[in-house]
Amino acid sequence: MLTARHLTKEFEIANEKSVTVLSDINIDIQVGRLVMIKGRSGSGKTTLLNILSTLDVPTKGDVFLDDRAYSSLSVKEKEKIRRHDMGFVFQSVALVPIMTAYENVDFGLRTAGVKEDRDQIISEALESVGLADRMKHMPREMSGGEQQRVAIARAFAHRPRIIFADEPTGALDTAGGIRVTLLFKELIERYGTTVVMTTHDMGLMELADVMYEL
Amino acid sequence: MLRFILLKIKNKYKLYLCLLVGLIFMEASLSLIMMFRTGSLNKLIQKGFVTEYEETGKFPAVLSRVSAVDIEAAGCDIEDIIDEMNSYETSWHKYLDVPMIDKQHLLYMKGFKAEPSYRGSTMTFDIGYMDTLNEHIDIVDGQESDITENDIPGNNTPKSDIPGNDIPGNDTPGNDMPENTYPCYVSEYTADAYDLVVGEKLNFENLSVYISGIIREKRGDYYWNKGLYENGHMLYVDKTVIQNIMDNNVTELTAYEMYDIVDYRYVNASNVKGIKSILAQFHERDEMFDENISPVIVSYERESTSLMAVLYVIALPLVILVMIFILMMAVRIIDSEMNEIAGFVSRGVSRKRIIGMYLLEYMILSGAAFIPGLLAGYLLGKMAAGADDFLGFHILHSVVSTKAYRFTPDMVIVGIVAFIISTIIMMLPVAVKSRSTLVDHHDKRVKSSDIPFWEKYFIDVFLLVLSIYLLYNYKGQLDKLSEAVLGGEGIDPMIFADALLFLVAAGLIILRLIFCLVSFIYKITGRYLKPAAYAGMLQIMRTRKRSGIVSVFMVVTVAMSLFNANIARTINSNNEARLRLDLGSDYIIREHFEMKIKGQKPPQTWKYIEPDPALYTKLSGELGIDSFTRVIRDDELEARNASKVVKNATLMGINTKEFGLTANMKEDEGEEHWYKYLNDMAAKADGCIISKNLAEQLELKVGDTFTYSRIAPVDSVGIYASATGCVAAIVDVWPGYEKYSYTYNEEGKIVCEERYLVAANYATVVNVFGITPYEIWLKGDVAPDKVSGRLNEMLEEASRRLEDFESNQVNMEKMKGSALIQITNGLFTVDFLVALFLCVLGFMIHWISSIRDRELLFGIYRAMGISMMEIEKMLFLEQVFLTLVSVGSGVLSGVAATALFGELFAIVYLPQKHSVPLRNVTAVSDVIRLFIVIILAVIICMTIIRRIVKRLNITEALKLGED
Repeated sequence: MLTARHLTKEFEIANEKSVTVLSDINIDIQVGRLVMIKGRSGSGKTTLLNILSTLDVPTKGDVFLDDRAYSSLSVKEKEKIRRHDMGFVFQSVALVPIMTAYENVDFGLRTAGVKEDRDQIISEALESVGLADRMKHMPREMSGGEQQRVAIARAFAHRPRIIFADEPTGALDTAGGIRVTLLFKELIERYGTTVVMTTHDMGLMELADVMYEL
Repeated sequence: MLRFILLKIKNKYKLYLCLLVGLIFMEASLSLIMMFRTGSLNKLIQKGFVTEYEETGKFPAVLSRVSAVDIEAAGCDIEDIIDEMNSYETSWHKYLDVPMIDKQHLLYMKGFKAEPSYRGSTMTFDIGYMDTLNEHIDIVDGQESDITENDIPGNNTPKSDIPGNDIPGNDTPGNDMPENTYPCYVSEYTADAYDLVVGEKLNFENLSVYISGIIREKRGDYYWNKGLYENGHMLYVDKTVIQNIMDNNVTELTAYEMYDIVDYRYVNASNVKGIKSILAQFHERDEMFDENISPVIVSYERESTSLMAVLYVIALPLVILVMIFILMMAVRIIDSEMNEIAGFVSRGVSRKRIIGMYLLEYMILSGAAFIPGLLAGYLLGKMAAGADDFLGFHILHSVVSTKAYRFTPDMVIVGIVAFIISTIIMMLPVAVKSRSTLVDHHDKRVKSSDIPFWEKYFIDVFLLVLSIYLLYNYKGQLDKLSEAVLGGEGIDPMIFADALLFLVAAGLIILRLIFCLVSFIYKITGRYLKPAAYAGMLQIMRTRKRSGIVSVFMVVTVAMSLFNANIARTINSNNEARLRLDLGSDYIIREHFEMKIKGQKPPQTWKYIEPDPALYTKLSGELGIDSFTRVIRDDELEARNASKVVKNATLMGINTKEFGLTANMKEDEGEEHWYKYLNDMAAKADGCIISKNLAEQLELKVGDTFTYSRIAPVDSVGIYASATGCVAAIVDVWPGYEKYSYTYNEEGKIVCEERYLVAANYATVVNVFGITPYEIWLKGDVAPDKVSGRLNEMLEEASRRLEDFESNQVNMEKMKGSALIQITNGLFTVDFLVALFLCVLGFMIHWISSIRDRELLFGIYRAMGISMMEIEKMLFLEQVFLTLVSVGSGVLSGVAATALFGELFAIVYLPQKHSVPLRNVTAVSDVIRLFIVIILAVIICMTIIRRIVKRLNITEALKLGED
């Protein structure tokens, strides 16, 4: 479904020097898999995830979604893909602070153009992450783990084909991290979603279907 | 620590720059008040002197002493008397530090009988000596003699340059003048009265004088505090002559009068109290002492109370606004540094140390604002002082003088006060937040409510109810308030405070309603909103508290700006309308009418000699005057019906057609077009237009008849003729008619007198009452200087005398140059501009920093696939609701305040001389200006925001969020 070929990413730093973060990366991601990308800090996990999710562009190489090269897509087409086919869970949680849990999920659905049965979808999504009773709560009223679960609910509520999760367990304790990862597994089983997540937590590696190391 | 502070300022230089602007305005606004305080008080006192001069025709700052001379005590030496005068003069000027411009010292002896050389009848004269007389006279006939410079005691040598030798048949003595014959001057008045001629000799008991010159006062010479006419029939001689008389054991009353003319320009706000006290002491110690400065000072003190009240109430809202701006900026800075502060507190840094650090930082900033603030205050003050209308400021070519408004040491003192106040204001958020640890800070964020406190506790509703209650109370006391202002007690400052309260409360209520409306719209349409609109709506509703402060600031600044603009325009426009009606036409000319009286004892007959009116036809033709008319005016008319008599009435004899063309009255100032009244009056020879109050007093209606009578100008006659008038129209407003006049009684309290009007046909008035003095009313767009200049020339050519000349334009300029109007126009203009500037600045800071704070959020939106266009739409929606709605609320609140408070404000500026209804003026141009500025700010803001959002890199924004 998602293929990356010869991805190289260089960042320019001071004095016209550049640093190579990714070099000749090739990845094949199949549908319905939990793909984990591991590596030490600064190894380029987030950069790779950003490139795979169209948020960033590689210096060399290309990414193909269903054989369509990202390099051939316009900004609008990329936005459309992100809206409909992708879901995001960011390391910084990144809920909209002025929206309740319910509204955050609703916002994701509206962005994806879902018009029908939004109430039901939102309730189910929040129920499935165990937050049915926190729907009306603002992010600032929830713990880090709860916020992360709302972010996951928002990411999958519109049934994207692929969810990108950048260190979704980074701010959580081990038990919390395992719970989130099992949640992803459940989504994959229930909806056939593909999940690509980065992590440096060795304890979670065995839950992965596919593992890439940078 | 200093390095750390400077680094902090450098890193957030934009926020600190804005704070610095606020601090500069704080310095400027307070020093501006001081500049205006001193300037307007100086102007007021100077105006008092000028008015006194215009009303009395005498120099308004004269110290005087009139005293009989005990010749025996004086040792029969004139020099001793002069020394006594000089010693008084020295003691006056020792204590009174006001320079002397001139002095008029007169020493005289009364009641000398003289035998003239040319006729037999005895004449009675006073003989006087006036120092420096020659410098202050014009010789009408004869020539100048050194009568005042002959300082040789006992000099019996008469002058050789005696004029008049060329007069045919004149036996004027020349060099062969006999001994004990001295030259003297006589006034024109005395020469006319006694038919004296130059060279004529007058023989007294022990000496003789001959008339060397007939004199008159030099025109416009301040020296003549007491004119020649007032001295009676006096012969002006050298002091040696006086000495000579004294040497001859004269028993006639000898007295002196001294008038020291001082420069009133040196009387100012800072020394006026001292001068008043010194003058009071002079009066106490010397009952012969007199002066005319104290009444001017008393009048000044009465008016200054009211003036200062107006100054403070107009200027203080601006200071409060600037304070709010500084507080807003300080809160924003502290909020942006809250993590660091909480970090310091958590790590055990003492509160004292944190407060000390911020105190040093804010003192540096306040110090940096000190000099620029004073400079800005001075420049704003000069600009404001030159405003001859609202927003009509000129620095170089103003019609109003700005000389009185200058830099004063008080401004520096107030600058220091501003420094302290600013520092305290900035320290308030530090004092509140310097206790918070990281945990407290987090807890506060979690517990914070979205609803602003004023909405939560219904403070806005309470304030609105309170302001309306106060307004209701004030409106019930309009007459009392009006009397208090006219009596010089000043206006209750709470009226202005109430207006400000209303502006704030109304703005807050409107904002509350708007947010209710937004919530309502969201409830109905929320389900169907697209992502951008959905996020935008939620942003508006959920950030009410934060953006609410900015919204309130915008509402208050816009409302205040518009209210100030409306009040200033209302005052100017209504003042102009009233002045126009007061005078009646563009120019009013009152020429002297000669009157011939026949008979020495009652019943006397009298007759006025009408000057040739053709002169005005010529004048109009030359100057391009549109029209002119004759208007007979008599303020001592009596009107009566069968049972009642009304005095205090004014008769106006008018030619209806010419009057209609010449008089100034707008068509909507009466109940019907005033031409209709003129036409109705013209239809009948006895037709009259009468005032409403007269109709009420005499129970008259249109068609009824009444009688009006005039009093003869000769005291012994009384009413000399009466006419019957038929009421053609009843009016409340009429050109040249003032319904109320105000005078001060002996206790210094204001007394209101109601006046009545009878306007009758000119021909009828002349027919019944004969020719009596009339005014010439002119209408035309010609400069006053041109009209008065040419008029004076023509009158002089025709040997005619002008009694009075009034110009509507000059009256307008005087009104605009008055301290009260200058304060009003100037400070309202500054208030408007500064408020608008701060409003725009506050708005831009809010938006730009709000966008910076939301970079992560925009990163999330973009990552989720929201396009740039949609983010811009979202921001536009927020701008529309928060900015335009705030501005709209401000406009509504400002207009409502004008409608409600205009009448109260008018009390100060528009004394009730008329029944002219107050017209609230809202200039569309001001609203347009306001919107243009705001829209420009929105455009600039949107451009900046667009640049920020466009440059936003999604991955960087998300990274920022991680950090």
